[in-house]
Amino acid sequence: MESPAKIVVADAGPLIHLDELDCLDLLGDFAQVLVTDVVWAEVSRYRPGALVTKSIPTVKRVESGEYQILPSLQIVAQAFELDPGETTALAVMQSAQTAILLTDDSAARLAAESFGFAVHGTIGVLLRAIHRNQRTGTEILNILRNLPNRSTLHIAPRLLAALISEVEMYVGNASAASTG
Amino acid sequence: MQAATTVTVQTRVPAKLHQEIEQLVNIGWYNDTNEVLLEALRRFLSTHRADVMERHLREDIQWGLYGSE
Repeated sequence: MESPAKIVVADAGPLIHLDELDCLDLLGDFAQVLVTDVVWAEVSRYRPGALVTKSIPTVKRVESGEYQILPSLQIVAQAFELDPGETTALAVMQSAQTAILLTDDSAARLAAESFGFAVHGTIGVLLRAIHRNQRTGTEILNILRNLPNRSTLHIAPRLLAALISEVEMYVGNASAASTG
Repeated sequence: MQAATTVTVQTRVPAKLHQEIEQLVNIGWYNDTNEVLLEALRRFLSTHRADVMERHLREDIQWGLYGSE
């Protein structure tokens, strides 16, 4: 296994979606996963116990009160109609700027981009698991094929089909490279 | 000037959401429920354009499959 990667700040979406897919453990590969108390409460509402019973050692709950919501963030949060969880996650990002924000919300993602933050979503974490040797390519393909039935993460069918094709190609190439 | 064409859309919303809409109307931020829903829809669609969501997915694929962090 490669060395652990970066610190990430997680919004509720990826925590909920990864839990729905029995993939919350993938977060254990990050150096630290910071979850604000507001996001924590949101996840607990939709997936009670997800963050407690499936304890991931790298997940750390942080108090949002310790992170100031700067005026620039207030303006962006208002413009993008961000919810309190997304806003507190971005406040943490402002003090950990080399971290990666994990969110599946398009508006939160655009807001993060406006600050120049690195930002990815559930799909990125799932795909990353292949080359981090956390899941095989076949396992990830099965998860992607069953995504509409197993998760509330919405991806347009056309895009999901294109994504699956791309992963199939990646897995096929990796397999050919290892046997050749 | 020609009036914009409109269509009628019927939908069901959770009671709590409806209460919040009514509250905005009652305190005078909006003239009626229709105005709140139109504003909410415009704002949602401005950040949830198909091309933006597709770009986000492409970035996740690139990072997930080929990224070096």
